[in-house]
Amino acid sequence: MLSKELVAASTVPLVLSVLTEGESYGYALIQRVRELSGGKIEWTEGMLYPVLHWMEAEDLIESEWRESETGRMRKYYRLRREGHKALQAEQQQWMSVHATLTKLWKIKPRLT
Amino acid sequence: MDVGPCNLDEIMENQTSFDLNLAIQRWREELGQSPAFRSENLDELESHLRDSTTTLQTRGLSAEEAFVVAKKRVGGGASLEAEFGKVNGTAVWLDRLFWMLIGLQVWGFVSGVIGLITRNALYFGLNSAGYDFKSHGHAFPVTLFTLVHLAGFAGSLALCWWLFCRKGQRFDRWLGRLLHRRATLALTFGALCPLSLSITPISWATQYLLVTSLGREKISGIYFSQSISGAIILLITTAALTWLTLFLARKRLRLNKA
Repeated sequence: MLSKELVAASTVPLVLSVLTEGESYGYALIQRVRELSGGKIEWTEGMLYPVLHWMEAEDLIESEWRESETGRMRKYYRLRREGHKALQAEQQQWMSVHATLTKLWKIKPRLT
Repeated sequence: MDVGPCNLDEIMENQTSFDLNLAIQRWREELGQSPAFRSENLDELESHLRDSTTTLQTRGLSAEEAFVVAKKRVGGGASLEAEFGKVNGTAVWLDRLFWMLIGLQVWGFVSGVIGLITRNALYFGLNSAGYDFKSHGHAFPVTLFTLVHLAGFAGSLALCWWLFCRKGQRFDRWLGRLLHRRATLALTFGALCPLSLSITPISWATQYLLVTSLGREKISGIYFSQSISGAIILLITTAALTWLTLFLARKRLRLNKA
């Protein structure tokens, strides 16, 4: 399980990344992240929506209410150009953290 | 035998029936009491809850079990409200302003009515008792005016304290549910505004009545006592309200720390 802080920091890049696969809606986004992380990233599901609304206000994504295959209305989210740009910036940042940690952890001997 | 198979069926039905739509509606109403959630937010959360419930049901859970698990996963309470509140800040502040306005009007109305009734009761009471301001002085009416007014002030404060601290959540929930219906909201505001405004003309009318029925000399005596007691009351209520504000602020700060 991820710490609260890490969950908060990684939600935006995760949402942006999942949306590069195509438009999606809240419930499906959560399912996709759970599936890819092997259940290690668990969100309090309702908490995703304020983040989505904030991202929409920042023009990173756009949304549309449409009828789903079940016949019920559903709100779909799509990436915008600003979102693609933000994702690139996020990628660089996360990769530099990742690269640094990998180097550090390879140097130190494993005690277990 | 009275108990036929028909009744048995009914009993079985009652034990197992769970109305998903009703449960979702109740859950929605509960969340909807907070200004942090717009109705579009609730639509989206409901859509999520329904998707989640359906998926869980395909894994073999009953409708009720699926609903309970899905509801828990969505989360709720203060943290969800706080996160939505950050996005819907305007709505939250409008709601606060609205409550302040209602408080102001109710306070104005209640203190106006208390003042009007006690003042006139005292004027006419003193007059019918044959009180003579010239020979008896002003000490007695000043004390009487002040005490009666302060009793009214303390009484209304005590009523507020009892409603909000003692009855607490139950009163809060009842009021919240009532005021989040559009019709009752409009009615409350529509009624409060003219009500609190109506106090002033009524008080003018009673003053006119006083002047015409008591005569100038008695009126000047009454007004003299009243203005002295008014100054005393103002001092005491200002001190009390200042103390109350500081007390509540300190209590709030302590809650933040905890």
